Order: sequence, then C-alpha cells, then structure tokens
Amino acid sequence: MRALLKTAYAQDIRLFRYGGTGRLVCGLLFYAALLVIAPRGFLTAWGACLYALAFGIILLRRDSQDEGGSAAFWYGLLGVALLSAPLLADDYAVSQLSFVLTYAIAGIGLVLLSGQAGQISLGHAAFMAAGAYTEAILHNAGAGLLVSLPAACLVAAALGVLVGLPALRMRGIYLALATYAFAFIVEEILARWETVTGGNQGLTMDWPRLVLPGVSYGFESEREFYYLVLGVFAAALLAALNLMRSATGRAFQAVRDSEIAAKSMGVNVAAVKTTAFTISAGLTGIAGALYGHLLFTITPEGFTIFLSINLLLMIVVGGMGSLHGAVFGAIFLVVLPQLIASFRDLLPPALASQSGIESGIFGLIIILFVLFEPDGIYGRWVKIRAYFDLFPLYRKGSFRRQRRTMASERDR
Amino acid sequence: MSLLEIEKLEMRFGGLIALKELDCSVEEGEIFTIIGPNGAGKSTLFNIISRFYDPFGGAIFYRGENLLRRPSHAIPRLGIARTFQNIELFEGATVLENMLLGRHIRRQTGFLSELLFLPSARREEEAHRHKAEEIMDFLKLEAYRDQRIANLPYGVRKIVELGRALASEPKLLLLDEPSSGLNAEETRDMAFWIHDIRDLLGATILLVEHDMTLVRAVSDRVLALNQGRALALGSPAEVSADKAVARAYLGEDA
Repeated sequence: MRALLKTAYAQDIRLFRYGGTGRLVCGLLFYAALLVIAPRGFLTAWGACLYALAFGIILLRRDSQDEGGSAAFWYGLLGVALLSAPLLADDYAVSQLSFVLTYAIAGIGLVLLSGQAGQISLGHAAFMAAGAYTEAILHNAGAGLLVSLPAACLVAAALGVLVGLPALRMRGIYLALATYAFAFIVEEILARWETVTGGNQGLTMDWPRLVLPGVSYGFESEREFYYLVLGVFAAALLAALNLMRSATGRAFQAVRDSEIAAKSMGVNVAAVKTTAFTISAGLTGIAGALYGHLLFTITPEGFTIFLSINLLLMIVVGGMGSLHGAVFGAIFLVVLPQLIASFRDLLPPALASQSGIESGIFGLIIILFVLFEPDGIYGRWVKIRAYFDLFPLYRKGSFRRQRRTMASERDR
Repeated sequence: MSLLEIEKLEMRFGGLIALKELDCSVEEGEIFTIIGPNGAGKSTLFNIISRFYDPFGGAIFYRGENLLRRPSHAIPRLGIARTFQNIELFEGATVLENMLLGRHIRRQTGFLSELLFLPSARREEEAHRHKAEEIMDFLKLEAYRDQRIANLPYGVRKIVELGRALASEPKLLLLDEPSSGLNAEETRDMAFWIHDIRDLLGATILLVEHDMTLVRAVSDRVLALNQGRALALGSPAEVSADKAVARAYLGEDA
C-alpha cells in the first residue's frame, strides 16, 4: 500500500490524477502513425509486441515512483493492445471486438443517463434503431460517413428530446414504462413504413465510405472498420469523461440525488433531464449506426425490447457507477452468449434443445447481480483491488456504506 | 428600500391557514430571525421564497423585483441561497462535489467547451475548486473533503449544507433551523459562523430557529409568528418579553 499526497487541487480534474496523459496520447498517436505508414508485412504481430514492450519500458521508467503514471501506463498498454488487435487476431475475433466497442458506446450513453442522472430507460433500442436506419438510408443514398454519422446522432438525439419530455413528470417504473411504450412505437413504425424502412425485410448496407473534399476512402474489411469503431469509442469516452468532470456532469448527479436541493442550487431540473436524454440518445444513435454496418442487414426484429433489456443488463452487470461499467458490461454482453453456446453441448439434450435457455440465464444473472453486487463487475473489481492494496486491513464492511447508484426510485 | 419585502403574503393548505397577511421587511446586512411554535408558518415562508410553493396572495420583493414571477431554479441566480430543516444534500456526491454544485450558478462555460474540455472550461473548473476550498477552509471541513455525504455524521452534514449555500456567494442567506441536531458546542460554533458570514462575507441572513440561546446571540431583529400571523417584532429581548409570544409558546395561563 502506497500513500499518495495531493499536491494540487487541479489533480481532481485531470484524466489521470497523477499525470501521464500527455505521454499516453503521444505514445498512442505515434503507434497509430506507425501502423499507418509502415509497409504491409513490416509490422507483424512480433513487431507490434516489440513496440509495445519498448513503449511500456519508457513509460514505466519515467513513472515507476508514482501510482498515477502507472495508471496511465496500463491504459497505454491497453490502447496498444487494442490498436494491435487486427494484426494479431482473426476476422471473427476482430468483429466481436467491434461489437464490444459498439455496445460500449451505447453503454456510455446509458451510464450517463441512468448512473449519472438517475433516469431509467427501457427505450434505448429505439435510439439504436434510429441511428442504424438513418445511417443505412443516408449511406445507401451515397452519403459519406462524415455526413451520415452526425445525422444518425442528431436524429437519435432529437428522439431523445421527445422521450425526455415524459421524464420531466415521471420517474421510476412509470418512466420505464413510458420509454418502453416509445420503443414499441418506433419498432412498429419501422415495420410499417415500408417505403423508407423496407418494412420487415429491413435494409442492407455495406462498409461505409469516408468522403472528404478531394479524398474518398472506402472501408473494405472488418479490420479497417474496427479502427473506425475504436476511434469513435475513444472520442465518446473522452466526451463523457469531460462532461462528468464539469458542471454538466455534476448537475446530472444533483438531479439524481435530490431534485429539491438541485433546484435550490439553481439547477434547471427540466433542462438537465432533457440534456441527459439527448446526450444519451445521441451516443446510442452513433452506436446504432456502427451496429448497422456490423450487421449488414437491419430489420425491426433486431431492435425489439430485448435489445433495450440487453443494454440495460449491460450496465447493471458492468456497474453503472462508472464508465468502466459500460465496457465491462459490453464484454459480458458479447462473451456470455458464446459461453452459453459452448456449454450447451454439455447439458442434457432435453435441456439444451429448449429455446429460451439463453434469456433464462441472462435473467438469472441480472437477479444475482442486483442481489449480491449492485455495483456490478466494476464494483467487484474495485473491491478486489482494495483488498490487495490494503492487504491485511481489508474488512468485509469496508464498502458497506457505499451508496447504490441506481436512484431512479427515489422521489426527489 | 429593504433587501427583502414581504407584503400581505397569504398561504393555505386546504383549510389550514399557513400564513395570513404577513408583512415584514429584511434590511440589507442584518440578521433577521423568525421564531414561532411548530406549524407557525416559518418553513412555509422559506419555501415560498424558494418558489417551491405558490402563495394564495401577496407579493415578495427582492431588491424591488417580484420573486413570485421567477421559477425556483432562477432564485439562486438572484443571490438567494438556502439550507433545509431536514438537510437536502447530494448524498452520492463528496463534500467537495456538493460545494461545487453550490457554485453551479457561477458557471460561465457552455456545453460545447465542457464536452471538449477546452482551456476555458479547465480554468473555470480550477477557479470553482479554489473557491470551494476557501469555503471548506472557512468552515473547517477539509478533513471531510473527499468523503461521500452518506458516510458523514449529522452534525457535519449540517455544516456541509451551510457551506454549499455559501459557495454560491449569496447576498441573502436563508437558514432553516441551523442548530437542530447540533450539540451545544456545535451550536456555539454555528453562532460564530453566522456572525462571520454577515461580517466577513457580507451576506444578509434570514434565520428560522428554535434555540433561543442562538437566537439571542446572533439576531438583530426577531419576528415571532403564530398560526401564520405576526405576533411581535423587535430586538431579541423585546420579543422574548412579549406577552403574546409567551402565550403562544406556553398557553393561555402563562
């Protein structure tokens, strides 16, 4: 256990409390540049590993004395691993990684809304659908990514404003029902408005194009598209972190904890709730657009209540107290069905042939998490780290009084 | 012109009269205390000033401006901050974050610069934090700086709430029973702070209080209320000597 002293008040608003952001960004940009300019074949898997090692040693050497540098170091290593993934893994793994990152973008939006602002939503599938369909329609009309992606974000955000309206008067289970009803309406519209959405047949789309004045670049494979998803994810994460460390994020928290006190501090509660829904929907719309490209074919069936529940499950299981939860939850959401599928062979045939077994296991897992670890995988991770940090001193009650973040049932 | 003028304010909850034609005015720089038995309408008055309740009649003027035309979230922007009788803090946030929320109305940067965390947003965050530290220093809260409210004892929460109100740099501070739940020593500290807030930070203070020791120690003027009506107004000594006040507290025979 190391003791760390605060040396400046500004530490609290740094991305890494004890510094290292600059070196992290420079290192990653340098590595990304290397990947772009290096001739094919030069940067093999081994080359990437060597670079990662050198990168790590430089950072470690500079920061071996303090905790913060090491946090930046580990995130740097994670960044290098993510950038190298398409060189090391096969197509299937890369596409799964893209799914993880896509879900994580939606998860970030949902963590901001539910974890930070305390508003529940069972309608996020509709925002994803709005993003995916907008992207598909514009893409098929020949628009480039720089037009279609912001458009997908805006359309979903506009819907978010609409859904935010009932949130001004409702909370808890009633808000959940209102958002659910909204998602149902959107799903119905997608199925019926055949001239635009293709009805139950849906729409198809291929990899997107990046069109700049004078330059046009078409993504051609899973691997190339993965970098796009990674970039969008990084931008979304950074934007969410920025919001959470400034007045907007604190206003979200204020509305979650006590609307009366928020008003008496000059927070415009209605505006904050609407903002939370708008940002969350916008991010989910972006995720939806990427999701559409990953799926190739989008149909109304892909955006039912089950997707909404899966998204909610993702942040409950991951932990909605922190943005880490969105990522942990997204990994869980992608990995679990595959685990279930591989265990299916081990089950007795009578049980394995049941069709609802996946939903059943998902439901069971939600119940177990809500009962035993409401802070999610990230909460468990924090506890395990604290256990080793404090080693002989950790007690079962060390986190007992820590607050549960899900506050939508509170009425003010 | 008085800082706060209350004219013929009337409030009813169903058949219950909470305030009946209340007239009073608070001068700039004074410590004005409202006393009265339970149900006298003291907290109701605060909630009307905060615009949580709409009165049946009457008006409240703050620097000549009718408060009743404003929504509740616009009140702090005018320079009016308050605390609550039953503490309304942001429980999931730390003491520091509560102070920073007190500075919400001082926010200058827009949404976009926060999203990108431009240098202007960073500078503003640092300035807010600096101010929050000053307040915590003033109220001796540094030790609790990074603790969540949910983990703090009652007495400390009471002071955190005072600090959050101060963080907005108010011109008029409404304190709803600041001594309730505090022990004798903490109450004495509170008396010093109330004086300091007026003398050092230049805020006018409107106080609702039951503890007569504190009332006598800090008040310039005292207004006694009973069942929504003003009984007596004057210095603490005058009001505690008033016959009608004694009757309201102790019954007809006193």
